[in-house]
Amino acid sequence: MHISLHDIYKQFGDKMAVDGVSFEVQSGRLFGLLGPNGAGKTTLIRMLMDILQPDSGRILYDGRPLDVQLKDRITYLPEERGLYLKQKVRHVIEYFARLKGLSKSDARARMEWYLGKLEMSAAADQKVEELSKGNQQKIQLISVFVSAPDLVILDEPFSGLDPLNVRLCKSLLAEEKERGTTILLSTHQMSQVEELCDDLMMISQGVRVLYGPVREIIHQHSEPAVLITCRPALTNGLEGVERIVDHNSRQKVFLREGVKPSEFLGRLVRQGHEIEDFTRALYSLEEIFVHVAREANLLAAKDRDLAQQARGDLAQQAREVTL
Amino acid sequence: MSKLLLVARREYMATVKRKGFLIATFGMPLILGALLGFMAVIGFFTARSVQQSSRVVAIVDQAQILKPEAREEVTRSSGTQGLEEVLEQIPSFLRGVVEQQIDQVAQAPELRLMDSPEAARDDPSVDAYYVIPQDFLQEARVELYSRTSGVFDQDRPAWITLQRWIRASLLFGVLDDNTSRLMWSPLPLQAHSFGPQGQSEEEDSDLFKQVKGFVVPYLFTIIFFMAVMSSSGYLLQGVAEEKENRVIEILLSSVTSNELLAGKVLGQCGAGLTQIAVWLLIAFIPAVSLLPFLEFRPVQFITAPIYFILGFLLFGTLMGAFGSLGNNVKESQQWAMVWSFAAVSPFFAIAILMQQPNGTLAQVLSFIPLTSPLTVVLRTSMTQVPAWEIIVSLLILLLSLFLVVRLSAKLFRVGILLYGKRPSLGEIFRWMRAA
Repeated sequence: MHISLHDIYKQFGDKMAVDGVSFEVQSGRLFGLLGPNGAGKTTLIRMLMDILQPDSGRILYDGRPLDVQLKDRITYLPEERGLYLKQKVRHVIEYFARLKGLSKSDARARMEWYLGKLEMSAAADQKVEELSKGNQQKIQLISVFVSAPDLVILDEPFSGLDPLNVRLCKSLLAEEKERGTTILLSTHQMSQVEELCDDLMMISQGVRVLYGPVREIIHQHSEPAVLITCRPALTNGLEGVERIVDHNSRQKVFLREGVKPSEFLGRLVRQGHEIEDFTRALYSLEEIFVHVAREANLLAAKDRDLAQQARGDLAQQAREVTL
Repeated sequence: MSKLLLVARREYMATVKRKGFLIATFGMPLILGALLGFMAVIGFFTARSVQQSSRVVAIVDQAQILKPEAREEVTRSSGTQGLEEVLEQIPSFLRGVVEQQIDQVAQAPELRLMDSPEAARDDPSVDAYYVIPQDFLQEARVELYSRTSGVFDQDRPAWITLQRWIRASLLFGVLDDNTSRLMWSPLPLQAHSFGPQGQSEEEDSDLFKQVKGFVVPYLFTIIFFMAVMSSSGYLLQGVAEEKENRVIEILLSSVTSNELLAGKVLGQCGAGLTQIAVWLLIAFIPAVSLLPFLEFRPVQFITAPIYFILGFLLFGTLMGAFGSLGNNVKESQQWAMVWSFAAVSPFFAIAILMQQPNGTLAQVLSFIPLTSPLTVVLRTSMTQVPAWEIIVSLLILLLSLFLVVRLSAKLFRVGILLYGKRPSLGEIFRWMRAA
């Protein structure tokens, strides 16, 4: 399912929670919604789920606004877990599935399949509160996928899972994506997005700061440099090279503007260098985020300073007028 | 199955499986039954021990004024026979309880004339004795001597009888039979009420019959109060729990807030009706034997259930909406208090309602939707309520139910996503306009 958001604004009191955000999620892709706590991710998701209404802006699903039929094809895993603690696992899953329009028999059959898939069949007749946090989280994930949705919105789906279960759940996401399900994953863990997502949007203080395919963003924001291990080692003064520094056991080569890494590699091979290891020196999303966020903060701070200065000037003028 | 029904069914199942609900549903009749049984047993033994001890109160008439014929006259017309007839109507398992309350019947001691204070004092069966001194006609004073202290209450019936006996003796032979009968028997009272058009209607003056009519509204009040309290309490608790553990967000991604609220209210209403049905079934046998003892007006069979269900829906909806406002169950329950109090408030004015069941207060309370369910049912059991008042009251109730459902749905939609500090009424109002 394709989603598009156009110019979404949402204000709570004096706080602008979402400040003119637009983005699209392509059908069948795994889309990462990134941002620090309080950036506006959950507000965006709640507007996507029609739990909140935007102050202005449009949200379209396959080109039309959300309606009852569409709602049945979308499921949602909220950040803070939502399960009936005092009920049996199978009753909770069945209830959520049937609320999405599944018949009783479909709901049961699909539930059994997912319970088996996530190794939870034995827990089906236990009460939710008797399960460990990680297992509750698995039940939550099952209740999201059990209704065979076209779009799944997951808010921090891996929190509380041990590494083994994280792996299990990641493979579940991959399978569901294979099946054509569009997945929107909201998280503040950048490494997960880097590993899992095709596209991403990063939001900070209600404003979109990064948006696009994950690979492209990383390449765009990384330094124009390659990491290389070769014999003989490189020396300064090579054509197309800005400078060379030692980087752990490797050499980090900063290329001049306009020089493509593949061109540079070809040149080295032709010159008879024996290349053991050659890779683009990419930043992690985390580094990119820190960089981008710092810039945004600097901008904000600059705004503040300017505003303060302006106020000071006005006060000065006012004093002069009274004198 | 529609989503609304799915929500209603889950709400119903979750409620009837609650421990608190099961305890209330099955425990309440048991506790009430045990209490009644206990009282009956106590009453039975009290009555028997009184019979066995056959307490005697002696009278030493030194003034020589008591006339045995006068006593017969007083006893014959004192009206206790009426009371005994009434007692005959009471189902046997309850009679002990009632008799215990009516001590004049069960505990009236035997009055025995004796010659001297010494004789009375020496007779172990005599608990107490009255002395009418020789100078009684001048001093108008009677003295009481009793074996134990604190005897005053127990011997009040004896004292009342003795006073009447003395007066009857003084008047004996002075009055003719007819005057004497008027003097000593209770006077029947026939009460009438007159409306503004001057039409008059006979009313039951018999206090006992009024009490019989009162039993129905009283029971209704208790059932209504308990059902509204428990089931809307569960509704509120359920909403607050879902909000606390964020299930609400998953639900709202599948159903609209209107469907959710309506489903919940319906489910709870069903659970409440189930509870009442169980109570009625368990109480069936005692209830059947009570029937001749109770008095119904046919209109009650129509009005009571209608008001019951409407009141249920009204308060359930309110509780659901206000349950969504708190951060947790405890906070939400504070809101519940407000509406529970409103629901039973007519009960606090019951003295006025009984005195003037068609008075201004009664009319006003019948037109206020929060108080009308109880008020109208109380009134119909006490008097003939004009049909137009019932119709107007029902129309107001239906209209306000319609409004309350719409406003509550808005409030609910706003409230369920509200976390953090408690909103002021002004803020709630603003959000509801925006929602």
